Amino acid sequence: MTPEGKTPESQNAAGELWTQGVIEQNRRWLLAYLYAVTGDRALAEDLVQETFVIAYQKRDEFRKGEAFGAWLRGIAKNVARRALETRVRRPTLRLNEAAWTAMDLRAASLEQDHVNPDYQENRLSLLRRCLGKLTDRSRRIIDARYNEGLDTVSLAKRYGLSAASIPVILHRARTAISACIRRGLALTPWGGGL
Amino acid sequence: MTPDELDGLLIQYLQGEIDAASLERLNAYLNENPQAAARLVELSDEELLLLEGVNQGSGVHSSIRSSRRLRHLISPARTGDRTAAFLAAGGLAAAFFIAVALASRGPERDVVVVPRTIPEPPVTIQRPPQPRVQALQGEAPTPAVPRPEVPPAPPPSPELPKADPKPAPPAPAAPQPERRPEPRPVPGTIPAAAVVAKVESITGGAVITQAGVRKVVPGTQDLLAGEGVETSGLTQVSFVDATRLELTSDTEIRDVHETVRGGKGKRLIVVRGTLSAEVVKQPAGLPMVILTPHAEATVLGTTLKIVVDGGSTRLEVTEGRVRFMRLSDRKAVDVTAGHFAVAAVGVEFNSKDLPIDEILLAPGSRVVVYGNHWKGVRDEKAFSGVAFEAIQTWHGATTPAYDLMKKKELGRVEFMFRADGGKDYHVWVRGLCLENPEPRIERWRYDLAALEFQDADATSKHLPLIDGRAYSFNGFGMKEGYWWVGANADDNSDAKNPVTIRFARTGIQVLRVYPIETPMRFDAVWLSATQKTRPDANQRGPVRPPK
Repeated sequence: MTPEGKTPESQNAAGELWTQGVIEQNRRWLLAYLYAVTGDRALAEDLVQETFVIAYQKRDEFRKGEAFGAWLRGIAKNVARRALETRVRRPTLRLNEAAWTAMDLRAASLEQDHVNPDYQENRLSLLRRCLGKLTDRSRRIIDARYNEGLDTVSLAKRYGLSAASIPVILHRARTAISACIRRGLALTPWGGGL
Repeated sequence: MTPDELDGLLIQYLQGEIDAASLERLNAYLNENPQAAARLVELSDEELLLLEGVNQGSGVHSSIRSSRRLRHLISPARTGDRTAAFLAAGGLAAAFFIAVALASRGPERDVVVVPRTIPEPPVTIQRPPQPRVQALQGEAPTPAVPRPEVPPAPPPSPELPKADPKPAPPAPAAPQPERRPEPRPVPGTIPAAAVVAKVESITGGAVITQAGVRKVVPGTQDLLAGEGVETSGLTQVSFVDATRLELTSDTEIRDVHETVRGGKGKRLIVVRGTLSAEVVKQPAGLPMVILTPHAEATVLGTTLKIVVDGGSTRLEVTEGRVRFMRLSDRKAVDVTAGHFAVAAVGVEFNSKDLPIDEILLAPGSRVVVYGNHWKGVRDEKAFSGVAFEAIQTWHGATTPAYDLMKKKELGRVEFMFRADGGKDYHVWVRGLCLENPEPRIERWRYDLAALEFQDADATSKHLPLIDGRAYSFNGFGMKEGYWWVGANADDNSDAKNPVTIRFARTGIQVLRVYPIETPMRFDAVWLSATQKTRPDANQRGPVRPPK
């Protein structure tokens, strides 16, 4: 639900759709979806905007009662496929239709999570708390990875560890954080059961 | 491939560190195991969260901040030129409209240019002269202002600097002076002219106040030690340590001070209105102190909301723990996450559970599907584009499904969520019938789901099915498409009389949904303390009254 209790789907009169925080509500899950598809965050951010641009241009084609997120995902999928074919020089995933569908369904779940306007804020709050529960070393490595952007080799050099051990430490830390956040979200009220 | 191996490769892929051979291996695996591709979306979402949460100073963070402002700026309550509001929002909104403009002018572009920010026009507040409200130290209210009565003067807090004891002369919104006045020196604090926070007017407007001088906040403005803020719209106050306050319209805070090592912690006074605070962990022994006319909240690091009206202060805590002291008798309680307390004369002073009135359950990551009778399917008519579908039919007969249910062999969708005990929740299920027999009236055979609540009883006159706590939600086939059903919709008796249940205790609850008469789908279950009549088909949650 939007903060005002209205859904984008109910605001399909020309242009009105875009006044309901529709970008704000859909941007995060769309970014996650496109980041997953492309494996490139900067490209994914560009594609999010292209998706909104196309959606805006085609807003009159959106039918009342249709699921807005599904419509947006359809556009995003086409935008991503075209980008992967024409703009990405490095090797990328070449997924079959079943894999695309599975990603699409998971993105739909993300969309549902983000319907709650407080969802992301709750997650960020929980993340801060969960980071505090890591060991000091794990927390420092996570910080260096995500704050300073250090790669595996640089992390290993800084902390005097083998390059093979860094992914393991990061994986364990991420898993602990993810579980901690999920536990926290399960205890939140509105949307907690989503 | 083990789950850990899969996660490792997916993360390498997302971080651009995967080698060609591993990419080939991953590609093959994802195409053979499509569910693993869903995991890629999950990890992508988690990576973005880590980047945003850990990397406070990155572009990601700033774009998120822009989006937060965008959310407020394009509120439907806001009137006027919406395009201007978008342009004023900066960040993504600006990029979006610029991109639209570019796209509409020429041939299709491959790349959209994304300026991160654009200058904001200065905000001018047209506001009539307004007398100041009562200060904290026993000053009588200004007679001309019809404000709720403030209780007897609380004893001055020994921890906080006194608020300005004299009412400031009425001052209209004035253009920003070129030179800022010297703030009052406050013994024991950081030097008076030090910047303690940034004030950002999100919507409506805000003024910085100091000893009767009022300065309009043009977008963003430094807040000096000892100054205050009055709002006529949503306003954010950000401290250096990322502690963040959000003030709603018609809120006033005063005497804002930053932590002084070896001295005191952050502190401020909330005179009236609503303040939400995300307080990061404060230095040991230097808690943040929020004073109101009725109470004092001592915070080490938490998320909270304080609402101050004429006669009371209400504290709600979302995270962490807050020491809350009522000034009239200096009685204190600890308020923990999920609880609230009210400090007011004649009101019981203790910590209580925050009420949970509305719960919306839908397909998503915190749902478990047992058995193979229900499955998640894409459905563009569903709220989220996904619904639960049960295809298995017993040709309109319910007995086989009930038999399986009794033997616990019937598939189910199981939700876990938090709800209040001892409260009546009206239950609505949004679903549809997938069968289209001739004659159409025969649809009634294919449209029943049973909901079983753990540790709950019905308080409405609906008999449970079989011998459990399951209730039938029947009659989805009476209409085309998705709609809300509250019990038996065959005779429309549920329209004003849905199943109403009451959980035995507050906490995590369990709801199981079984397919009885199929084929059918459902995409949401709504437990509401307020929605007593059938919602509109597309309604998701309570309709809030217009502000």
